[in-house]
Amino acid sequence: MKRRKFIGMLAGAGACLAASSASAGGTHHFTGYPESFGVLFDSTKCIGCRKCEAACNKVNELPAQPVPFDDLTVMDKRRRTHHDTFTVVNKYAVGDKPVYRKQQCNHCLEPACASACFVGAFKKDKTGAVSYDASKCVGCRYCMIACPFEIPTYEYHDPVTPRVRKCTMCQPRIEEGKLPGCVEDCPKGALVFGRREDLLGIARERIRKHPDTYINHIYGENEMGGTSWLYISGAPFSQIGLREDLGITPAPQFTSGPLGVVPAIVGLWPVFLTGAYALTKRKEKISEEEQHHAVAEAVADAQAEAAKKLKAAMDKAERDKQAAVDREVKKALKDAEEARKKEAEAADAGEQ
Amino acid sequence: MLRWVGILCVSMAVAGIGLNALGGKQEQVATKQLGADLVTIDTLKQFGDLEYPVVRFEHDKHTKAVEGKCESCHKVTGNTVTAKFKREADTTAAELKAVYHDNCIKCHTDTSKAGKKSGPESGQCRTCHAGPAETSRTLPTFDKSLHYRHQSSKMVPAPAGQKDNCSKCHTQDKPEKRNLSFAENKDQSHEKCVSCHMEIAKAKQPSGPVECSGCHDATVRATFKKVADAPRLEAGQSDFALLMAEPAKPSAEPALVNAVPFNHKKHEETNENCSVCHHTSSTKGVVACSQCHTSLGKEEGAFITTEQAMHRVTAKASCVGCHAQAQDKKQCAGCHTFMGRTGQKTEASCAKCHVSITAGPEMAQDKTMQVNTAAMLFDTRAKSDTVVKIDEIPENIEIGVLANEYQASKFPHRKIVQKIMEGMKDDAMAAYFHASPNAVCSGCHHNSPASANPPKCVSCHGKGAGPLTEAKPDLKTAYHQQCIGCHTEMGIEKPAATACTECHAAKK
Repeated sequence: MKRRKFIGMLAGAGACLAASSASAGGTHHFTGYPESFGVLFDSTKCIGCRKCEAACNKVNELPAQPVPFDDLTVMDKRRRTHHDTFTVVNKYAVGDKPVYRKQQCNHCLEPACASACFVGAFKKDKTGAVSYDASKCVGCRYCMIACPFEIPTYEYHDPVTPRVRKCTMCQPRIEEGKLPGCVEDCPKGALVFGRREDLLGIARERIRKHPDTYINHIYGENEMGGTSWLYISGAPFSQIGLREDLGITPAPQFTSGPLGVVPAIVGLWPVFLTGAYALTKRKEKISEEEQHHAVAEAVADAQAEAAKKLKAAMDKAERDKQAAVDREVKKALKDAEEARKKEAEAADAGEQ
Repeated sequence: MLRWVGILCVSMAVAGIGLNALGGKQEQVATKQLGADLVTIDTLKQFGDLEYPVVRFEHDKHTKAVEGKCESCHKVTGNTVTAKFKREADTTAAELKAVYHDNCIKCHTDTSKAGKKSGPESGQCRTCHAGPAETSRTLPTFDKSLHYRHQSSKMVPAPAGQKDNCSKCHTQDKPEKRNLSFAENKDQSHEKCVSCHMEIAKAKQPSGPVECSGCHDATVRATFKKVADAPRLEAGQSDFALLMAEPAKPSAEPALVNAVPFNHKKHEETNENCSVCHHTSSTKGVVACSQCHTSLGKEEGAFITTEQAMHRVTAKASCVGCHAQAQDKKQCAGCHTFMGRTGQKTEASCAKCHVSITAGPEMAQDKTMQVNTAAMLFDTRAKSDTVVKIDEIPENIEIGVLANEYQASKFPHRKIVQKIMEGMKDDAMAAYFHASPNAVCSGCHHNSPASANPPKCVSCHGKGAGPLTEAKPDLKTAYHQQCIGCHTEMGIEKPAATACTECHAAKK
């Protein structure tokens, strides 16, 4: 078996597998666990007081921050989440008024981080939270690349046991029946916690009731296949730092095809090799048998031919021999005749 | 070696461009802001898609260049200027194109030959075809004051044999039959206004603007003289009207149940001109709403039914829409923003406009009777909320039910009510619509029957937010939303929303 042929077979098998699993990924759309929770952020109500940041710091027992939480000047710069800040509020100038937006993990229904994680450190929980298990994590940071919202962060300062860090939606608190820290401390009701279905209803109702206050869109309802954290706003979402180019396809759908093949290929490797080996072996055996057969046939043919030739030669020799005998007999007879004639002539001459 | 460097450079550049096209952030080209004299020439649009971007034409610039001689570009007969460029009517696409190209380019070439500064010539297509531009051009509002100044002007005499000079502008108007349409389109209105202004200017009399910025520049319009108490526009309208739904079947008598008495005079006083409600009056004249908006809708009214025409909250010309806009005023927005735009849909709120009267069929035919009925209904209406007695209102209230990080908040309750009442003082709408007992209190003490002793906030808004069952905020949110929300809507800048200790002092 030639190497080229073997690789070709492999590629063909891979393509078949890929096609089957990609179509499986394409038809499957997970719309979140029923009854799962979420948070609705309303940018028209947020006043940028940073109470949510302070609460987050407290309930997650994060390190003390260099700048106190009542210092609002930090919002003059655009900030992002860090390993020790799971949420930040950013200020955006829209028209002549500041508009604030809280940033944290959006807890996608089909998380990109989880789909990129090959050790399953991320899990979408039935509460709606996307949880992280540090004991499984190998620190590859694929999740950070995969997340379209640039959320997961990494403890680069920790040389021994660095973890990926992000908002947990306060899953432990939710399980205790408490509200997430940020929601509990928001004085303005800019954050509403509840079942995602109810939140969508509330958001729609607000938009319907105040048509000139809100943009008619709930960010997170369908973005990236839907998120548990939802946003409504009076300013265009692109102007408050929310990407509007993400589309509505969940991240796993983009990767499930190609990535779905990987374990299959890995698992089937021995099978393929064994198969290939068996094939080669069988082929060798067959060719050997064929060769034997051919040789035997050739030998038989050769022998038959030789016998034929021998027989012909023998016949010829026999015929030659016979001819020679005949010739000799004829010659002897002739000689005898001549001798007899000479004797007769000599007798005749003598008599005269 | 050098060749490889070159190839590398080129491929990097191509890759760069490709990336840019794929998703690189491209800086928006800052659009040049042009003046109020920008005319966008897109005449060929009527023949299909344009091959080139629309032309930006700065009219005032050109008027100056031809020293105000309109006839350089427009047909002038006597004192009338034709609005279209070098032609009377639009013919075919090819001809139109030729009209513009031949005339514009020829003039530009001649001007530059004469050694003067000139515009683009043949081959510089994109200099004119530069596409749409930002402009400071805005539409003028021909308000009551302007109307009165025209109507009372010595330079606009009444036609022979007529008492008023209406038909000078409202050309189809006859004293015996009112038709107050003005112009069918932009061309017509420009021809009318500019021709007349020019004529008066020729007679060396004070006249109206003839250049674009004179009407289309907001800063120039702000300098117009305002006649404070322009007399009422007379178009034979009655002071009151009784608005009724037309009968569903032509033969049936109109049901007078739930008719709306309408104070036409009051609405004239508070609006700029007839077009605010009669929104097609400039082209079609002032006609009754029901002429286009019927109970089933018809084509002239874009199939918008009477009900929609009167109640659509997002429409500027509908009753409800216009009243909703009035609530955007700072002194109203504090309470009304939270009520939302969808209205309360309660019988009480409908009954504010709709009255239930029963009358014989003769009323349907008799307009005078309707007018009198409407007037009578207005007379009997309450004009203000007489229940509110300022000195009976609690003066200061301590809100300490949630005190935790901060001390209790000292709330100057009476002062705030007074401030709200002050904002409604001379507002007729507020006077009537807040006339039910304790209506003003409902601004904050909402969603419960209006009373002088409203229930405590905490009786609806729970202290801790349990799992969410409806869109009702918890107590802390309710307080902050009400106070901060109202301050924001009313434009009260102090205390700032994030200045926590200004409302409740920090705990020692």
